[in-house]
Amino acid sequence: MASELRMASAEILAGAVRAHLALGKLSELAEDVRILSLNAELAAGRAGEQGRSIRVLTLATRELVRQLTAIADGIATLKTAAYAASAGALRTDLRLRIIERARPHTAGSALPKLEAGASRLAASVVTDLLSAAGCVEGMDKQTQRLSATAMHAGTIATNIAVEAAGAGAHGQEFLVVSRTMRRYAGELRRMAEEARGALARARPAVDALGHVAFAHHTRGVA
Amino acid sequence: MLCQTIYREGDHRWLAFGQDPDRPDNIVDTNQYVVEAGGDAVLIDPGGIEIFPAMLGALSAKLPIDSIRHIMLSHQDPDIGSSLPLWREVCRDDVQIHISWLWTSFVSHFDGEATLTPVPDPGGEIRLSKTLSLEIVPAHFLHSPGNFHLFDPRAGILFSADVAASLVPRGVRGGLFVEDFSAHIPYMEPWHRRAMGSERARDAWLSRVARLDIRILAPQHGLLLRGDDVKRFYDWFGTLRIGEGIEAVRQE
Ligand SMILES: [Fe+2]
Ligand SMILES: [Fe+2]
Repeated sequence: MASELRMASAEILAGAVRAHLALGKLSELAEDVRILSLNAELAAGRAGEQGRSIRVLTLATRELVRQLTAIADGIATLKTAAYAASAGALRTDLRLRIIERARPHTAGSALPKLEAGASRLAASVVTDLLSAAGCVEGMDKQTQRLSATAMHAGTIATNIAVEAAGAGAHGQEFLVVSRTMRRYAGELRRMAEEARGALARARPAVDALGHVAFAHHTRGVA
Repeated sequence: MLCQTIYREGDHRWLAFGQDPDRPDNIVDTNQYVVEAGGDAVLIDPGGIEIFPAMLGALSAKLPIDSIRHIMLSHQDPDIGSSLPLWREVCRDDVQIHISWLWTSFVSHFDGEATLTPVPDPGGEIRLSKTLSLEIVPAHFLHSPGNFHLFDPRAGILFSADVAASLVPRGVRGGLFVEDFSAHIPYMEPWHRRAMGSERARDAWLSRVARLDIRILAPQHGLLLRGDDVKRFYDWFGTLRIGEGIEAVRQE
């Protein structure tokens, strides 16, 4: 593949890898939120009537856990798909390089066949890279959802703190839940920001790839 | 890559490709063969992916690429057929690829899109023209557990894959054929002792090929044997201590 494609592909893969690394602890954090939510539910049960509004909030926390797990799964699937597409591009690129080495030696009817083969392989490299770029874009959407979920977690933490004030003797217990939730919300926000930063760095490569692929297509070889 | 015609009778010929002067030293030297008859050809053990450029160059200078109707892979090794996906890019779509049934799903690691024709353990034939059929001869466990040789009864040539293979240093080679059998033994012996896994397999192969009228033994590595050297090879191989497993491993 052309050097511009090779560079774009390396940057796209690096973006996917870095974003995935940034989100490495996401599943673990989702599990922490789940346990916190269970504990809050138990505390609300113990508080009886005074824990009623907290119980409503823990339902929102459960939904939060569901969203976090879905985001973590989505990211993992996209990362695997990005790897597979990049590996496909690299494998095809290896074949393409060898075909390019063969070109000057090849004679007769084999030459047009070799050139047709090279075009086919080049098109397949572009398709694979576009698919890897699509995965990176998908990861970006997932991290946007994560930012929104982190914000939501912060709001729930605030609401729990407000309710804690009216929970009498159980107030202290709920305050601990609120503080822990706020800390988790902060971690989620940092993770999302770091991942988005990594993906933003891959953005120029994704755009460049789009242009290269378009040029490739209009040259009639794709 | 050098190309020599080792047999010619009318439109029937055998071409041997190998001894590429540009081959890097870290890539094992291999021989590739083409048998052509009636305008159709079989490419035998097309080689590793790294030698594809030189091999295609040499082959395309000798025959139209569309005449290759069959590709035969004697076994699964990378020096035999890791170039397969590239050959499929240039060969006709209906090229038939023959390999032991044992390896079809392994070769897919080189080339997941290839349609392979599995050869059953007893072997078979490749019908090249109306009058010429090549015999796929079983040679299992010599060295690969799913391994075939290819015999051309009219030319009297047996392609013997890694049997009779030799690793001859560049400077020592004078031509394509062995000229002094005794002097050639040291280039064959370490490989045969280590790689050939079973005396029973060897004996079965020897009794099978004794029935064939073989004038040239054409291995996948090193020099070819012809005439009386074929018989000398049988005698030498027949008494060689093989199948010793770990005992053949060099102690260093
Ligand atoms: Fe082998
Ligand atoms: Fe070999």
